[in-house]
Amino acid sequence: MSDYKEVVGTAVVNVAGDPPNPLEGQLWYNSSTTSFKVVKQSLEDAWATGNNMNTARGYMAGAGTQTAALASGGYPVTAKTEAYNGTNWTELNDLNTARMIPAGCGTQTAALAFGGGPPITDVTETWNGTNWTEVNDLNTGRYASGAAGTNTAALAFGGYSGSVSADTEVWNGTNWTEVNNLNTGRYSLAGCGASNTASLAFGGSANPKAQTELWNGTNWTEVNDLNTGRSTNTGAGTSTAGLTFGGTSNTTKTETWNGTNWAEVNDLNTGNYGSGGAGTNTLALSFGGMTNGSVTEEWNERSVTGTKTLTT
Amino acid sequence: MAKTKQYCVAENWGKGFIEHSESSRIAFVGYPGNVWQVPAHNKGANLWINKVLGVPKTKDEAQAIVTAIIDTAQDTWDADNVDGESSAEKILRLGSKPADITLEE
Repeated sequence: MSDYKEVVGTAVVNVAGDPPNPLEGQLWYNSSTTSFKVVKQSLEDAWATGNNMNTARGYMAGAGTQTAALASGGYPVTAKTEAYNGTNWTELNDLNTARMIPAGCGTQTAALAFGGGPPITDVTETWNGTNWTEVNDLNTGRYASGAAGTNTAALAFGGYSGSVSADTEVWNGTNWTEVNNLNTGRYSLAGCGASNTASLAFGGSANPKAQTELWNGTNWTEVNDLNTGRSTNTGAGTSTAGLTFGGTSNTTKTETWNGTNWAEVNDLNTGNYGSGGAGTNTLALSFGGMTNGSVTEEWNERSVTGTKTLTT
Repeated sequence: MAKTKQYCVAENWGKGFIEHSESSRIAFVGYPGNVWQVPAHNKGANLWINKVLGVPKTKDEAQAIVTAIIDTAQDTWDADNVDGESSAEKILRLGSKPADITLEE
């Protein structure tokens, strides 16, 4: 077995108590407690409650960040739009077309909402921070599709268009263009991604799915599955740093994506499905949902440095 | 067998109701009706119940609250029909029928 002094070059310091400002990785012997101690960095992640939405609903479009989010549409069928500022939700101007299960992407001041129903619609609306304006329609009307990107570079994938769809369309700020399909057609799936050239699709129905697919701007490629197959789950983040939470049946399960694998992390506090989502995989927001319609939860993953006592 | 969960009813007031520091140490599960499940025999969970002025409920009392809400949601789902709509189309329009929830001992 290696000797600490041989490896590090110095002996373990013997301190009566703890040193005043230990650095990360520093090891010492605390003679007062007769224990070895080290400063170690660890990840602390958890969901906490945020203030409730004004209008309880599920199946809405989400956009934005944890402290600047946008929710539009939803069930019971509504055109209502609300914005979250990190503390409270405020009602803003409505969508032109009331709908449930639209898809959404973008930011709180530049968002896109498309599809939804009933009846199944291809209507697309763009949000400038104040008003929704109708723009060119999807080629294939659908609801419960996935979405990623911005309001000038978006991606729509999957959904239900009268049958289960694998269709993918790219939005360039003016028009939708059909591109290559998902490998596995599905609806009520989740998606994330910063642009229409790098996105991730995961979960969905029929039958709760665990399949994950990665979009590179041209094709979808199957990558590693979710640990827990589910539909009506929610996504946040990018194609290399994603997050999914909730879904059938009222699951609290949360998983984080590192670009290669999904890993289970701490659960939502409230079981839910069909909630809205915004943010990144380290600072995310879950809002509304079909089981608990006005609940907001905030996800924080942060690095914490603390002193640990070594045990054998 | 000793119970591993305890239940209370507490209104979720939003920010500060469950803090990140509490959520990372206590396994919360929120149910319809402001019913909250937390670990039994857990100091942190007991402190949280005191903080939120939670009203303790037995598992059976908590189950009755949740079941009543789910029953109402299921009745609403059953009554929401559109002429000519298939059951598959109804599920797509409304989502699946709200499922029964069974609380753990």
